[in-house]
Amino acid sequence: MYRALADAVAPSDLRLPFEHSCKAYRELEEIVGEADILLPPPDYTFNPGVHSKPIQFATQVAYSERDRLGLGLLEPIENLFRLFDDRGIKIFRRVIEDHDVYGISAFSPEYGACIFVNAANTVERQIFSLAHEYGHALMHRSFYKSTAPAAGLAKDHELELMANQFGVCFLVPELSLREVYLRDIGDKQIGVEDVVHMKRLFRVSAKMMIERLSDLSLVPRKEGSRLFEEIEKHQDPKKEFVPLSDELIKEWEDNSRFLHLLKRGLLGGMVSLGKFAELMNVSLVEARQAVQSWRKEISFAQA
Amino acid sequence: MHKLETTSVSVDSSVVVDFHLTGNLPFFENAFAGRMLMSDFVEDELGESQIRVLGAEIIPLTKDEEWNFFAQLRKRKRGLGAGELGGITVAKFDNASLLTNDRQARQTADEVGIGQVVCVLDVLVSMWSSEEKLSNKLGHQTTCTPSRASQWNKCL
Repeated sequence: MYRALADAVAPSDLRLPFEHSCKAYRELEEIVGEADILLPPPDYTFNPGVHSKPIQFATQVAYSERDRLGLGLLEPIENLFRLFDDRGIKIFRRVIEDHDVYGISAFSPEYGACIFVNAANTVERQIFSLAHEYGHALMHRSFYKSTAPAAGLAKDHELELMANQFGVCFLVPELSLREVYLRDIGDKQIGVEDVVHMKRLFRVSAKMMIERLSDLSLVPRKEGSRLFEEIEKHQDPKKEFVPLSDELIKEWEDNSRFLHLLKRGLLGGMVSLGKFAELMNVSLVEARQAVQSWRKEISFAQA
Repeated sequence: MHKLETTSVSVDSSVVVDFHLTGNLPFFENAFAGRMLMSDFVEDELGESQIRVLGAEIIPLTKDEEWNFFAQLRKRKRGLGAGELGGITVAKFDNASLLTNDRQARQTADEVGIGQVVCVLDVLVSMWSSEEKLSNKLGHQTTCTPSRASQWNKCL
């Protein structure tokens, strides 16, 4: 099943490459003998008939998952892409302009959790989409029923609200935010510069940070609205206020698990040039050039 | 006479791409004119990079036996792409030599009993020896061959 974060249905020109990428990743794992090496993320199945408090459920899952991943409840997450990738979550990024799709997820026992993130969005949005979709993969596994693509859910659908809550708590745990607030702001009046400091620390959007501060009553609602307005005055509606650099995503992409397996397969003679092009969905010339640059990289490293 | 000078060859994409990237595709086309077989899978792969090889006879798989062979190979050799598998299938059923740079493709070709499997270096040796014979006949040594060979070494 596919899920779009916004109310939009995932466009077919996106579904097919996503499906191709999920299959290619699995096939590569099998070719190089790395399939099923990593445990899939645990199943925290949400059952609407049994669990009467979905938001609290999502909060608990977020904290439990942080604990399982060794993150605790205090430290901000440095690089969510790297964190999930290292645990075998299959993450794909691609620029999809003119679509309100932020993220899409799929889950199957064979492929595990696969998440697509629209690279056209801000870095903050991409990080949140990744956490949101991961929440779906943990809590709503039983809803990934069909192999056929399904429409996105309405923004206020219970499952979407749960995934949002998961994302918020996973990225900005209450305890952590309270500690930072007490330490860095305390009794002083909060200003926009403080919001910028905290959004950078937790790697979320300025608006999400203000909402989180208000939800936890660290900042009164009225004060939150003032900060919101102040930010909107200076912000291009399509851009993030004081955006994060995309370095963290680049750093992950340049050394992702998929790329590592591909390099190992190719340089170890397990993956041919033609297969490489198939898996990467690139032309042979592009594949050849990539191989040459990898070979150079290694020979420089050995020199 | 070098073994490559007479037999027909089934080429795979990796070899053509290397000749293309070093600007020597016409030289390659000339060397195998009239005896170059190309699986349509290879043709498709090259087409994605807008590479066309002049003088290659395009060989589609038409018989059940060929398709079964291709499908079984695809299952067994998951690290090979459609082009390499197509090239091996054509070599097998058209009794041609296989021209590929890929180690796994060469091993597979050996396993399925393809008589002759060669890579770019073999092609270079063949071309070099032909040119040497020609230059000996003409009474002087060609000067272009060593530089061409070093160009290929860089590419490999």
